[in-house]
Amino acid sequence: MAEMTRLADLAAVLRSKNAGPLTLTIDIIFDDSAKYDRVVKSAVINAKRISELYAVDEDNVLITEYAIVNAIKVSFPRACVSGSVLDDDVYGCQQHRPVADLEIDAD
Amino acid sequence: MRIVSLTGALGYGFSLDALNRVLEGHVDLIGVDGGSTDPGPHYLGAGKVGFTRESLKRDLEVGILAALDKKVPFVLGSAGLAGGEPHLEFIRALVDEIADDHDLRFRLALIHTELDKEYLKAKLRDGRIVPFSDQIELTEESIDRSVRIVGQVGIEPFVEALEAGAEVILAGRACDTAIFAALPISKGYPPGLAFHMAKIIECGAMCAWPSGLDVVVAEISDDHFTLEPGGLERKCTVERVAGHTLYEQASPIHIYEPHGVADLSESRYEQLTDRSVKVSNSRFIPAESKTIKIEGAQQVGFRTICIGGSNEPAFGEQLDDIVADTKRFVAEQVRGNVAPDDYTLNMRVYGGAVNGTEYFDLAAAQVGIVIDVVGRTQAVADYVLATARGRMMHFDYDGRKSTAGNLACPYSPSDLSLGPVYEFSAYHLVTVDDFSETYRIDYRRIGG
Repeated sequence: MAEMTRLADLAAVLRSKNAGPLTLTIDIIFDDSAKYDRVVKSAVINAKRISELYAVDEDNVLITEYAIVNAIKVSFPRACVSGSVLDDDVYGCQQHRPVADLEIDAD
Repeated sequence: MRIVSLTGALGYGFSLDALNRVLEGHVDLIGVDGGSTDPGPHYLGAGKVGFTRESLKRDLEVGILAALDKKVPFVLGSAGLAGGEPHLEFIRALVDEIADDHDLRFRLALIHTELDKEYLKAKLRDGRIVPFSDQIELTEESIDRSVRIVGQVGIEPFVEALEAGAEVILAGRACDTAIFAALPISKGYPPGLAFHMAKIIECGAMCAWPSGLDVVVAEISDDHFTLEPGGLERKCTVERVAGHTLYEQASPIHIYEPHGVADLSESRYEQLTDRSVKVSNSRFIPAESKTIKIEGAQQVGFRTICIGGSNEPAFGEQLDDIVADTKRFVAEQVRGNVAPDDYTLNMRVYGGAVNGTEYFDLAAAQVGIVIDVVGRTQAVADYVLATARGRMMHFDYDGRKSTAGNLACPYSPSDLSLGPVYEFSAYHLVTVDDFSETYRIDYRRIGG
């Protein structure tokens, strides 16, 4: 059986934050291109998976591979607007956990 | 052209050594961003400034004195965090105090960016206000209900004020980039480079290693710009500079501006010296229409909360049932006094699940609960909260042995009345015929 690694253990930075009050954005940054390439190649981070993890419409998930700094960016609409009555994370800075726990196959 | 950014936001502070070092050379403008929607809708709705009066005054004082000494403009955008009229007025009064304290004379420009509600309703009727998503519905009623709505102005009012000879410019809500991009664009530097530069330096020395809320200086030319932090303990690196556009933006390669988009997909980054980075090849694609982002806030009630913790495994195991029971009990108790629509009761549980997955052994853990009520009035919120807290405190769940009380409350009073609650009522894009529709500039001579 292939060895699995948690995405958070591969990434140098794995953070979430608001991009405006309507949008959540997750940055997954690797400290070398080998790790970045491995995760990109695994295709684990895809719109369908993100839509399941965060209960958002697949069509609204934007994934940008930003090779210049070995980063993958995932953006999608917030479940509720920042600071609305039922929101529990105004800055959106602790919404990364479901992505952090994704498992990546060994090569 | 050399442009200084003091720090990530007015009020965060910055190092005097770092500022003095960049001021040893030629500079053309000292600017600082003052705002964000990040801390939520409260500031815009309540008309209160972010940061403290003392921290804002310190940063303004150092920045304005330095700019007047160098005979270059001082530019602040998004005054007081939210950039509405009360925020701009608070900052203007601080600047007046500073001018009095130091016997300063200068020409002040105030850029007002609060939008008229009738203007917005007419735009809405004309179909010229579009949402980014369906999360907030804007109607004529919700425009009327909003406490205030501001527009994020672009470079135009800054260019106008600079050309009118303003020495200190205080703006209401503005694009972070406009503060720093207006001057170079008005002098003919390429907008793609100017916006890219501005987007990086509006966060101060975040683009350095170690990153910090501190001074950074950018030098722009016809085909590139360079970045260097003021503090010698920091260096700009290609990784930090290129990585910076990831921060707080949906896309790292597009910066949306009122009259187009800066495209960074072909941008080139080079380490110039040990501490500075050179950036080139950032482009600007003009848009077909002129658009302004608007932000509004409305009051939705008053909040009261109670914070409590439990050390009982059986309480944690039955928490879902206890929460459901508490909600049912509250609904029954307050019926007749309070309509169901007049309050929202929310139990925020800490130590439990994340998105449906159990990461912690809930039964073994200490569980924290914030009982959170938003009511139509403060009295309603206080009443519903007290009813919920009483039930939860004394609920007799299965296997209960700790019968003296279920919640450790850290405070007396246990119930905290937090006052008015606001939500964003608008976060939309308005198409304008001319940007001058969205701002008004007021010039004043300070110090006679």
